[in-house]
Amino acid sequence: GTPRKYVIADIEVTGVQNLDPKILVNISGLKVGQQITVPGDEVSEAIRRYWQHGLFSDAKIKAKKIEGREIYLEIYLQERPRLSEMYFHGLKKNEIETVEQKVAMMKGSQVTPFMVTRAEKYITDHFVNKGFYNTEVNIVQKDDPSKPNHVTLDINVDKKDKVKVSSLTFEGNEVLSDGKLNRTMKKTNEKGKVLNFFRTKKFVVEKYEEDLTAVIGKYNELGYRDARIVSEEVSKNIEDNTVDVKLVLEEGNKYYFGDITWVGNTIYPSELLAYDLRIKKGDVFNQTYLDERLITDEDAVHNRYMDNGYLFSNITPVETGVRGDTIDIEMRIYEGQQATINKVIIRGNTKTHEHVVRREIRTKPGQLFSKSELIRTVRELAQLGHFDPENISPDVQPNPDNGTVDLVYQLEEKANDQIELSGGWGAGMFVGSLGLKFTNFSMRNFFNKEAWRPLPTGDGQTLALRAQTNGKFYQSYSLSFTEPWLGGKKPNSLSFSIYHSIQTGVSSSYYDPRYSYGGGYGGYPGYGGSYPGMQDPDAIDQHMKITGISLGFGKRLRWPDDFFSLYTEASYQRYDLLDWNYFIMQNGISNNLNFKVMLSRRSIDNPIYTRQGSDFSVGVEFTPPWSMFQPDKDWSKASEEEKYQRIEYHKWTFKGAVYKPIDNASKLVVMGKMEMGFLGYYNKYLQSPFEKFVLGGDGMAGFSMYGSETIGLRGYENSSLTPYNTQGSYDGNIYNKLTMEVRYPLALQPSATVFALAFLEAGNAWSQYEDYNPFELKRSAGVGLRIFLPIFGLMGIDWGYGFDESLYRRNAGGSQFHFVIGQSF
Amino acid sequence: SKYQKLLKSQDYELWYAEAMKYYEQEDYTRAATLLGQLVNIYRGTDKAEEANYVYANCLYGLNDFLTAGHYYREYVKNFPAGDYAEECQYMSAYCYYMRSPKPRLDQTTTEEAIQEFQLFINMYPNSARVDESTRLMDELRDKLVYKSYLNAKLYYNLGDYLGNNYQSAVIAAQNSLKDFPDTKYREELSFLILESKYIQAVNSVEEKKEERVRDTIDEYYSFVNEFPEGKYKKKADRIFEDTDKMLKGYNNEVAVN
Repeated sequence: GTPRKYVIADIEVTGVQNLDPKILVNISGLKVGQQITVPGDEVSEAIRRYWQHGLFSDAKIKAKKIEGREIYLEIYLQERPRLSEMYFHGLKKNEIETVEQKVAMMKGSQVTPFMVTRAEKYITDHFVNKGFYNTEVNIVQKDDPSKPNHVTLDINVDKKDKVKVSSLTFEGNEVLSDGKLNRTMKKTNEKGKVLNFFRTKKFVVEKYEEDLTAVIGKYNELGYRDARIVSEEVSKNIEDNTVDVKLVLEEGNKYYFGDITWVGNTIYPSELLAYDLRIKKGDVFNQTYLDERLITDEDAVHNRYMDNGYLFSNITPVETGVRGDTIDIEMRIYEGQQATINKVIIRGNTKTHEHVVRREIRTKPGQLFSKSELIRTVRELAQLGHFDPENISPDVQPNPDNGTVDLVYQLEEKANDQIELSGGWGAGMFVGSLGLKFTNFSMRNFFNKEAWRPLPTGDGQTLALRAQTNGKFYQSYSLSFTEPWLGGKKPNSLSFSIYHSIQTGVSSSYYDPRYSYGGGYGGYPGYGGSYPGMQDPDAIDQHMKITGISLGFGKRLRWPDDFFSLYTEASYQRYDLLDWNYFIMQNGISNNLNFKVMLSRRSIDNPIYTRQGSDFSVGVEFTPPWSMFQPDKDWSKASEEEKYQRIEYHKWTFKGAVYKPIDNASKLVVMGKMEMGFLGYYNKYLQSPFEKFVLGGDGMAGFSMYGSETIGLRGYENSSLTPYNTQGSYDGNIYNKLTMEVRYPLALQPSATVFALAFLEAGNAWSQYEDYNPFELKRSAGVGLRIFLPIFGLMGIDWGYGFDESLYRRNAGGSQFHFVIGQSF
Repeated sequence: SKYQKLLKSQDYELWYAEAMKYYEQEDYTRAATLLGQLVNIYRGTDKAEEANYVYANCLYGLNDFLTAGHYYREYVKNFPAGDYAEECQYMSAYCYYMRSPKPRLDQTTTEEAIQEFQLFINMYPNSARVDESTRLMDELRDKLVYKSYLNAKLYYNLGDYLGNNYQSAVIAAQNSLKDFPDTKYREELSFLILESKYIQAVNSVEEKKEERVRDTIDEYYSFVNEFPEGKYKKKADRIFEDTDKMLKGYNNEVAVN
């Protein structure tokens, strides 16, 4: 009828049991005493609100009675049922867990038809993507008799069997053979073929479609830019649950690049841009390559603009003419204005103080925008080790109005501290070690109580503590601290370390060889129980005490380029020996004051899984030539104690490693590495018994006896490739080592980085310079695995096979397993 | 125990009653465990409002400011006209405030806190909590300025390392003054600009030197104009004397030519 005005006299809510009528009335927006028009907007608006609310499956408003100008309303609401339980049928336990997460329906939430359909779709998609192409999902809703207005859901999943590819046939292909196309389709492979043994045979729609794109991509690469798939046919075979795939292709003609002209460039001449492009007239037409050379490559044409502030510039290749099989291209360039960096914002540093990040950033306010500097910054930030290197994303936010750009570095902190704890009870004594390494320490907050949560962090300093003992036999303590930016103005690092160790003769008679420590001692010639002194209860008085202190200073250089750095160190060690009959000198005190200078160049992209770059270092370590200050003394007749009171030597080392990815995805990486070292003397009667090179084995330093440097060579027993002198001590004064390694990552998550490797290695150590022969190397080959866990650092296992015989120890080669802890490779 | 038995039962009415008792006794751990489930179960019922409010308070009592803040916002969203809406809006901001980290760390939370307090003041301009909100907002803003001051200062400290960082210091400090015009670090930031410009002028290549010297002198005048009795007055005067001398050199050159 005609709309009339009424005043609401009363509102009654019916149909619902659990809900508060007052609140329900509120939702409607209607009030007692309100004037409404019937029929009119107020009532339909109220109903719309109930629907929108989502709680109700039915909502009606009617007039119960009308008395004159007064109206009595009844709101009828049907509440949607709530979920009390979900039952899965046809799935395994772990499958149920993943599916439950996908479906994300909570107990107590309301069940709507939409939710049920959505769940059905989610589950179906989930299994189809896993190769269960015929999965059927059926959800049955039942009332729960134990609770009013609750329902249970029975989720029936029938995955059926996996669908495999029975045959894959191509038609219309001449340029590419069936075999080549087959290989191009990486994820869609026929079953029952030897060649496909290691490849998936499942038919997964998503992957299949990716493969179709790959086929066209392959043709485009070869100049067939018109190539297309005329028809694709996927026919199911019910009986053996397979599909036959048939593709009909049209390859089209092969095209070549014609004239390439440049328009719109005022800053750079066309010749220069053409040179950067590296495409000549007559080259096979390849759109992907063209895009790479223009935009994506590290030295792409566009980067000439992007590295010089022209953030708003763009280059559009336009095909201006096709003459037969030749395509002419006009490069239309828009240069725009130069953008200056305004704000540089750092986000996500929840632990690391901002200045630690900001001082590494090479894009600074006031500078012209540069893409290369941006990429370099990301690399530098990854090097810091405080952030997940796979997850550093710079966000470029241009403001074209005023020609500026803001840069946001979005970071994700990762745990970077390392802890190493091992211990046990053996042969009546406690055997153990505890190592702690904090890489983001904050010394200035050391006395700030509130900062200890659990440790003062954020300033990027490193603090490492280590203690190792097996009771009376051996104890060592060390502490080191590094500040990477001394004074906060320049990246000059300061490092400081002290250590002390005590070794006594109490040992092997009741010392279990299973607890043999590190490489150094285990391979000691003649060691192993044959010393009569070992049985002597007085052996506890025998000792070697080493105390050392060092102070180092590192500086990043700007010349020859800014990947270079220089490190200098002064260090002092004191050896205190008493009846130490395992060594060239037995009693007395030996002092080693030395200086070290090391020049290195490091340009690797990621410290854990390195894909690209190189790492070179050349160093010299020397003591003052003490003997030259006493030219008259005849050292050949001096006693050992006198000779070694002040040790003198000079030591030269070189190490170089180069990393290069060899596949398109930059995953498979090859590393080549070369090392050499030389320990020389000033006076031939005063050759240092300390600081020797010890070659062979896993390269784990263990404890550094006599200041020796442990060099690994897998495939041989620890230190087995080291020559001896007449006293039976290690006497490696020269060494060479070459390594070739291929690595493949299995996981690159911040929680764990895992990669597999295969290596070829060769190296040798010599006692005398006269014997040195760089071609006489001990060779080995093998495979291994590395795992990097944020708390435990790098761990790994290698199996190597040494092909050659060691001159110094029998059967040191052959099949060998090596365990690696710490970042030794 | 009684609590364990309660957890096993599915009697939500009893859960609710007991949860309220635990809340009264300030046993927030138990109350929160029960209410955490009840807020989902009671969604849309007459108890939803109270459950949400009390649950948020329990989480706040447990110092879980992240989740507490979320539930205060849930309350405001679902019960905008509820009895506790004002308090919850305030508490939502306050939870951000409590989570705001040291100035040297990412300040996203600080910015969220400021926005949330602003929202509170806009929604309840007559609330008794407005004064406190304003005070806390000022405190949070000071943190942001201090952070931006540290940024500018860092560029100043980096000096010539990998390019001219004084220019970056000037831009960073100017941005900071633009974003927070009435900050208490105004004098520090202004002086940092003057000092950076001065060093740039001194180290400048000859062709840009005169322009930079003049720029420094202009900067000096606006600095002493704003802070005639400031703590950096003496240092600023010294900068002026030096640059003025340099400028006179240029003027003489002009005269000779």
